[in-house]
Amino acid sequence: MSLEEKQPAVSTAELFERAVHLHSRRMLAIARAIVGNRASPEDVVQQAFMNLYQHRDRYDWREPGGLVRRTVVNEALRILRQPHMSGLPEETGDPGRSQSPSGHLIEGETILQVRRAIDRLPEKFRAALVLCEYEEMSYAQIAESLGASIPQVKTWIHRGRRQLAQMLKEYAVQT
Amino acid sequence: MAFNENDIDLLYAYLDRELPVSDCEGLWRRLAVEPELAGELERLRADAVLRGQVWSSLEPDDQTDRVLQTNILRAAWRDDWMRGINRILRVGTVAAACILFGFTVGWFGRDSRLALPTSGVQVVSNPDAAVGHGGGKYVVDVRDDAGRTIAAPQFDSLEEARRFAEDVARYQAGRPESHDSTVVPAVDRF
Repeated sequence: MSLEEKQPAVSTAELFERAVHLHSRRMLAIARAIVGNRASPEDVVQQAFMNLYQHRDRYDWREPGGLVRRTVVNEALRILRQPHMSGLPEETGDPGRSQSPSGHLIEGETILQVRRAIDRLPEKFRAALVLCEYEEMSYAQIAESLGASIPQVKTWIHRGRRQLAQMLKEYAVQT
Repeated sequence: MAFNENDIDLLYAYLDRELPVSDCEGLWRRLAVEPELAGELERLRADAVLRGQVWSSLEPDDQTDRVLQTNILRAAWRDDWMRGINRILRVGTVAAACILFGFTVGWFGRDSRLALPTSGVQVVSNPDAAVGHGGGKYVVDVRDDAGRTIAAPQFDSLEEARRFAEDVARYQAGRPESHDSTVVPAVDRF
């Protein structure tokens, strides 16, 4: 009897639940980076997972990371494309909520300013940047996720970084 | 030596691990002899580290993550439940429609069955007697509910034929309605 035959069959619903537990945290971070304060990132992630769940039989749930990431990014961009999208009240800034070990090393105000600067970038720039730097995806993978060409993705990332640097330079001059 | 925008793009690609090995070697040679370019690389690297901290700060805390997971799984469960209800409603609706259709067809079918030729008797002259083939001069055509002739007794006189026809008609008017397709010949009761 092969190893595969010995393994108990896992239903799609169980695999879906596993995917939720495994990826929800990072997906929420991506949604926060893309939609900023223009919509509820929690709603974006929940809707993305529900979109997948409603057509769950179409997908391979053994390695759902890429699928979930792509769906969250698309849902976030779709939300931002909606007309009359009004921004939620701006967060007063709680950079320490990450509870990451290195969080205390960075001055809270600086992180807040960088986050605000990222939030002012065009949506495609934000999406490309977060996928490149947070998810550590290659340009080709980002291009596939965003439905764009590799040179386009490269341009978005480089321009996004330049604009960020410019905004932070202006902030530094002001203070 | 000063650097330009293309050099910065090169450094970005290097930091993103997107620079081919051959280009990396060229860049390393330049970095060794161009301190300004090396300084810019360090600055970009520091910016990347800062942004990395920002991305990490976007991660939710445990409680937020748990609430999100619960909401997603609850929504999925609700979706399953609604699908089940919808399926039951669909099947129920189809069954109800079938019953209604059957009832309607039955109702109108009952009316059309009543509209079929009803039982009756009719006195007609016997064509065989007219051409000399024998038999009575008059025939009483006795029919069932479906209008089929079930008996055709012959009589020599019109008076006898009429009397017989009146008897049959009287009997048929007084008998209980048959609820099955069995035809009870009126003549059998005489």
